[in-house]
Amino acid sequence: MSEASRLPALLISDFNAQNLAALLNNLPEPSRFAVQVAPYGQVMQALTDPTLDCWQPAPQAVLVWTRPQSVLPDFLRALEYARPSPEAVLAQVDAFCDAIRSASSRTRWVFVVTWTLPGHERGLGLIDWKSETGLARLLAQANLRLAEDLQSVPNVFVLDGERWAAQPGAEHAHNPKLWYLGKIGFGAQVFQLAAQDFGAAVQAASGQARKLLILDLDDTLWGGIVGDVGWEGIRLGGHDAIGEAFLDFQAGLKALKNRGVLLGIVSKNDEQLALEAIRRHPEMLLRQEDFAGWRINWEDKAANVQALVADLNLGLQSTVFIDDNPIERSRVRQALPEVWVPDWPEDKLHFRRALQSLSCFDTPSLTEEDRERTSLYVTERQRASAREQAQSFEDWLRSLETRVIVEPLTSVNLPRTAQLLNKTNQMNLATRRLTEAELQAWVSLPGKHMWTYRVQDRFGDSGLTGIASLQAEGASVRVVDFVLSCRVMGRRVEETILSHLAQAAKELGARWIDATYLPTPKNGVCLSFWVERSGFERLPGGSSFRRSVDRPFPTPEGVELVLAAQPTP
Amino acid sequence: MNLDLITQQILDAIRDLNDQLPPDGRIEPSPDAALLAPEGKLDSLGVVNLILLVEERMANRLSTELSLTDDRTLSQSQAVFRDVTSLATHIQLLIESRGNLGGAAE
Repeated sequence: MSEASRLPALLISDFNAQNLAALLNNLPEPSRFAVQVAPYGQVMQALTDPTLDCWQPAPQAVLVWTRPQSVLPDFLRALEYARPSPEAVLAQVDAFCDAIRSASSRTRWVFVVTWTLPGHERGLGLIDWKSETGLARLLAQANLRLAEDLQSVPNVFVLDGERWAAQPGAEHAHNPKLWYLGKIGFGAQVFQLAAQDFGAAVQAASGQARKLLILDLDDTLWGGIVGDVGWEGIRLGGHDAIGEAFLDFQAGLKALKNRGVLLGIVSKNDEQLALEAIRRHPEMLLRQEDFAGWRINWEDKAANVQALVADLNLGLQSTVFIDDNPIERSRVRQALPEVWVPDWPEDKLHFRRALQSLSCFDTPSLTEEDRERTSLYVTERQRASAREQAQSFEDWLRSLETRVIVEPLTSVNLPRTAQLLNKTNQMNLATRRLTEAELQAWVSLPGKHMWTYRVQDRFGDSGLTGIASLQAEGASVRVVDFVLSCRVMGRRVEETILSHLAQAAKELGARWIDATYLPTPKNGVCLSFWVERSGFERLPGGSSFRRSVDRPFPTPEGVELVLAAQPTP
Repeated sequence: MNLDLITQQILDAIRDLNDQLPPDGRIEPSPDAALLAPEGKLDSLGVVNLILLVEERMANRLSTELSLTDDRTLSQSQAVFRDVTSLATHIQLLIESRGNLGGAAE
């Protein structure tokens, strides 16, 4: 990988962080960084002074990792048992957070590590949690205040340093030799965990989280072979360590589903038998409605994974595959390298732990649409079934009773809008990737307008699934973003959005609406729409489009366009 | 304690250390490899990291508690950390001088 394709990152810390920088620079793809380390021990200066050399070239991501005693003077007093003031500690946390906020305006993301203490630090011993100046209690309060202070800053994320320090054990986490000889704050294993998490955090913040988890069934979702022992004989729950472990694994999967990760099944099995087990086993936590789709047959698993991903209108790069069988894992890994196939423990008692250690599903926000994602796919199945029964495509569209509700960008819909903008690959005119803060800043500029589109029909609410934006350019307005989730594509929502943009352009006093398609390996479907169905004239060169505002652009038949009342921003 | 056994622990430590080094700063894991700059590639931070890794391996694999941060070692660090063999020889002397044969078979 060339230096140019590495992500510039900055490490700000009060200890020698060169070891961590080296690990970050050596991370495998896709997390490749070119890390600069801010001057040692100058945390507040590095956060607040943009003229320091370490801010050139401008970092895309900043990691701030400090020891509490170095940025919170009253915490140092607590370490010396010198009657610190808890209120003063919290005020110092606030000041530190002000400095973080200042830094956050100069970079895409800031990641702040929670404060920790070495495991051998016993504070006030028995009364450490009883006394308001006990170290553990004070540290917990400081960390909570840190999280609360930074909660509302969209591009700042707090990372859990305690987890990194706890995993290798106290002895390896803090080695006094490292400190006295090199002012190195933590041991190699802590830095390794931190480097992995930082890489995953940047992936997550940039909207590259995996969205679909495809599972095998026998000996993965439950114990035993359902084809041999029947649904009554599989191991799941009960007074059985293995059965309990599978049930716990399912609980972990259900939690992922509730966070917005889609679950799918690819299994070599008899479909009726397998689905019967899912429907009838009394302890089955995951039922049919928890799965967005499945391919249960005796065909090649790689082919089935590919087909299921296509059915769900997702990309292979969004997919994770879990199977207890190493041969099947190897097959899928080899045939579909974009699919993430984690190594999987042989011991079933470790399944839940292996699942929880996956960071590839982390997202920068959690929206209502995420929580409802699986049910959206279930209603999509009902929609598809209605389409099969309809006389014609037009009849089906009319029967849907689609409503498209338009809202301007607000602080309420901002997280979902940023998420959609950053995750949508197919129906995306310009494929702009912006953080919430960047999006907010863009919309606040003169002549820039952005709307969001929520799509509903008689089967349910698909949620906020469209974005469009315009910018004034003399007598024209230009469509900057035209983004639609694959969930609602092909239901005349595309034309409805353009109809709304035509109306908005007229109100803005423009004569023309222009649009330019910026190709990526994945947005060919967007070009097809603009060429075949947009109603815009394609200009010479092939990727620019224009339409006169004077030409009427009615809303498609059967679709109702609703302008929501102007919400408070 | 057998010098080859000690050398093996140092070479394993170098392999781990290389994960933290940029490609052009890595050390060839061989008995003749120079360690300390300017002949070798290790700066003072690299030496600290190597010390910790070697101590850890000696403890975990050869059940030999060892300190490479004692005065005797640090006062002659240029000579001790010149190359892999000089470090192995120094460790062997340290162990012999305290009469600790460790738990490993020779």
